[in-house]
Amino acid sequence: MDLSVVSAIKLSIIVGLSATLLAIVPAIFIAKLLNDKKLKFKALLNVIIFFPMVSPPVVTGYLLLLLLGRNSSLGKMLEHVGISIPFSILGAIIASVVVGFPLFVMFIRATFAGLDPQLEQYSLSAGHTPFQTFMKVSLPLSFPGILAGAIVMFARSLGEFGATVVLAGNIEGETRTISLAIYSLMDSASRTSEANTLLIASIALSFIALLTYEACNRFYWKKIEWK
Amino acid sequence: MEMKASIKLQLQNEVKDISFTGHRIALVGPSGCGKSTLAKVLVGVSDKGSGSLTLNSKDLMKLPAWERKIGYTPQDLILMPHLTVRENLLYPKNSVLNPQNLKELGIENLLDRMPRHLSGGEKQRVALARSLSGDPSLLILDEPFSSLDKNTKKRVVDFINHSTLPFILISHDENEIAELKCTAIPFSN
Repeated sequence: MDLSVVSAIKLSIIVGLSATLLAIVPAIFIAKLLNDKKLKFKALLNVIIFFPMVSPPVVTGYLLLLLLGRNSSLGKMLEHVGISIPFSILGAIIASVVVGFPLFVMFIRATFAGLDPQLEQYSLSAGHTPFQTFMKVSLPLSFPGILAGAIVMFARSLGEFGATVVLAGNIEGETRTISLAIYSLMDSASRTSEANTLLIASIALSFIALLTYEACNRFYWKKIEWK
Repeated sequence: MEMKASIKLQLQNEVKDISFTGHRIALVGPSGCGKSTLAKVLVGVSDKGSGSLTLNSKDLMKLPAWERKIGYTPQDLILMPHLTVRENLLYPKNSVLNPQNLKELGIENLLDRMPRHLSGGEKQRVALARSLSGDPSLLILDEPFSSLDKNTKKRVVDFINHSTLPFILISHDENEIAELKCTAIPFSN
């Protein structure tokens, strides 16, 4: 297999997994926060979190470039401590996190909203603090929703194009993921077979992600059923 | 041990003032009059009321729910669906399994079952045992007999009658109140 194809597949997996792992804890936290009826400025937080879902990915990428680029204050600060985001794999991961995050939060939020509030109320009355209640009740019971959100986040990351190309560029071996590689190969008639290989790899990765979800979900419910 | 309560309850269309003093209290009234809401206010999981609930000269209403040490049996029972009966019984903080309680309630053989495999009456007895497992200083029992047959109900009534803990019973059945020797506090619409 061509090295550029292998590298694109590898990069897609690394970016997808990193973005998903990085987003898990913040997504759970934000979802919990947004489900709090007493939260002030909820509408503003909603707009900020869900903006990347409704804005064109290229616009999101450009905003990220303005925010984290080498000419921005934040970018300069990061450069000062040796972290360079634009045109690096880190940029691709950040683009994936920002674009996929709203979907992840939406899944977890829906799961939290579906939990019977009386379970948490009982837990509090049984002597557990809100944090302990969250860890012992809300989190384990939300596992299928969190898992589904993680799979969607990973899949969204595999398909991410616009924000990534603006923030991280399209550098072979460094930031060229499957989507970017297919786009690049489409210009060249002689490299159709490589594009096709990437297409199959992309479909295979999506299937593996969905099968992983199914397997984990079944394992979870079996554990509850037969424990 | 006597408890003393004075609560202002904020319901959808009205404000109710409820006061009572005693060791065994029964809040009696028709469905929908706010009894369960009052129970939740006393337990500390609803903000629809304010006031005081004094036990051992300590006002429990000033404490957060997790420090009140109230053994609560909600109306909908609410067993943790992802935990076995044993784990549910050990869920309250500092809880211990009391074999005597399990035997009296007839649930000693259910310990390894999941709640979804229990009947309504079994769930009710597990919820009752659980409310006692965390060494509470007060019990709040919201309709604890609703799913029990006649014989099991007698067993549970005897079990509660053996307990020396103060409790608040929520019920609309006058026989239950008489059997448990409670002071009835009428609660109307």
